[in-house]
Order: sequence, then structure tokens, then C-alpha cells
Amino acid sequence: MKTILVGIDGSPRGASVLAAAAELARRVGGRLILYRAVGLPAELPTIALSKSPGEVAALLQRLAKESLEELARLYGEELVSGVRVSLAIPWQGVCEAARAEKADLVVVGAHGYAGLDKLLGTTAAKIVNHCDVSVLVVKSAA
Amino acid sequence: MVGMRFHNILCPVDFSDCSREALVKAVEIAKENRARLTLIHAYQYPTTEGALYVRDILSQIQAEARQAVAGFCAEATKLGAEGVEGVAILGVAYDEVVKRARELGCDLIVMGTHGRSGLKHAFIGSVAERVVRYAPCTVMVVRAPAKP
Repeated sequence: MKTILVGIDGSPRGASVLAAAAELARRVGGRLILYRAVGLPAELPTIALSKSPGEVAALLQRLAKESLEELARLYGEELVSGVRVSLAIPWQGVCEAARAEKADLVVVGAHGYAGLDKLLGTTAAKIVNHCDVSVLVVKSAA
Repeated sequence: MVGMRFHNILCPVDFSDCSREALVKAVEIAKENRARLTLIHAYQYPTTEGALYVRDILSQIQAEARQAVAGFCAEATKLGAEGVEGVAILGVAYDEVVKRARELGCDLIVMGTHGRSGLKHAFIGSVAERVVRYAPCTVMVVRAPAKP
């Protein structure tokens, strides 16, 4: 049984990365674990404004988890074995989650933005550098 | 929409154990998808200035690179891949890989990465990292399981 960790960042391309990972899991008879790293966003959801700072992180993690659970429902339990959220820098979070879940493969999206992103380094490039297992970096058609 | 069907696979090799792992994976995916498989090896001339004047050395390096690629092609064929092509090309590895992927219209690059991590990696990075950054297509970076 192969465990495939899918890094999902909440952007629109997350859906196509997940679709690719799901197709792969079906073919190899593996199961997915959906993962999302939560950091403090530049824009907080309005509901966070009424919270004390300590509660904000927990709230953001809860929201992230709910969004992953929603995605997981689309694919069903036979394909998705779990969801996981942590407060982390995305590339570190993905590498840690892969280790913790003993994943055989990590699937993440490539940003595909030109310019600045290439200059500063994408999350995917860092994951490739630091992850202990093989990584599939999915390039979505623009 | 991303499909997980691949038609045209590029596999960069440097003849290390990691790239051999990647080759095995590339062949597996190529067979599964009946995809075209191209191996690419980018080599560079020695940087010592004197060496550049010795034509024999340069042609020898070229010949060795071609021979090594041919050897890897033979391995791929032995693993069951069909119509494998190999190129040895003078240049900077990541740059040549990305260029060739674009030229050939590849939809997947399968490559290995050396198990370096920590400080050294943080500063130097890897070819795989750069390929991921600039590649026009999906990239599979194969990490060999750590030896116990």
C-alpha cells in the first residue's frame, strides 16, 4: 500500500494537483493524505479579528482542515486516508508531514509564476531539496 | 487539466546511483504509458585553463560522455523500454535539461537527486531544484531510499 502525501496550498490550482494525485493513487493502488501548511496570512478572515492572538492560529488551522476535509469527501475514503494540517512554513511542513506519515511519495504543484517566484525560489524547489522521499511536481496547464 | 498520462519523457542522467534509480522509474513510467523516452547527459569541460588547449582531452571527454549515455540507453532497453534515445550535450545541466524538455515537447522529466541535505544543500542547491524551478512540465524527482 502506497501512501501519497499531497501538499495543497488553498490556491485554485490545488484542485488540479489533487486530481493528478488521485489519478496516480488509483493506478498504483495507493491512498492519499491531504496536507496543508497554515501560516499567518496577510489578510485575516474577518472572523479572526474578534479572536485573541492565541486563538487565531487554531482558527486558521480549523478552517484549513475543513477545506481539506471537503476536498477529501470529493474523492471518498477509499482514496483519501486522512487530512493533516500544521502551523509551518509550507516546504518544512510538507517535509515533516511526509516523514510523520511515512509517505512513499509527495505530490505538490509547481507555481508556474514567472519572474519573482523563480528568483526567490518556489516551495516545490525547496521540498525537492529537503524531502526524504520522491517528489512529483505537477505543472498545471495555465 | 493535468493528466497523469505521459507521452514524452526526458530523463537526465549523470551515471550516479541516484540517476540509475531515476532511470528505473523513468522506464517504468514509459512502459506504463507507452511513452517516448529520451536520456540526456550534460557535461562540461574542465575549468583548468590549460586543458582547454588540448584538443585531445576535449574530444575524449565528449566521446566518454556519449559512450556513457549509450550504456545507460542499453540499460533502459534491458529494463524493457523501447526506442530509447540518448543525448550527450555540452552545457550546464539544468539549463540543457529545461531547454531540451521544451524542444522535445516533453510532458514529464524524471530525475534523481543526490541525498545531500542541510547546510551544503541550503547554499548550493541541486540540479533537480533548478529543473523544478524552470521546467515547462511536470517533474518527478526520485529519491533513492536511504541505505540502512
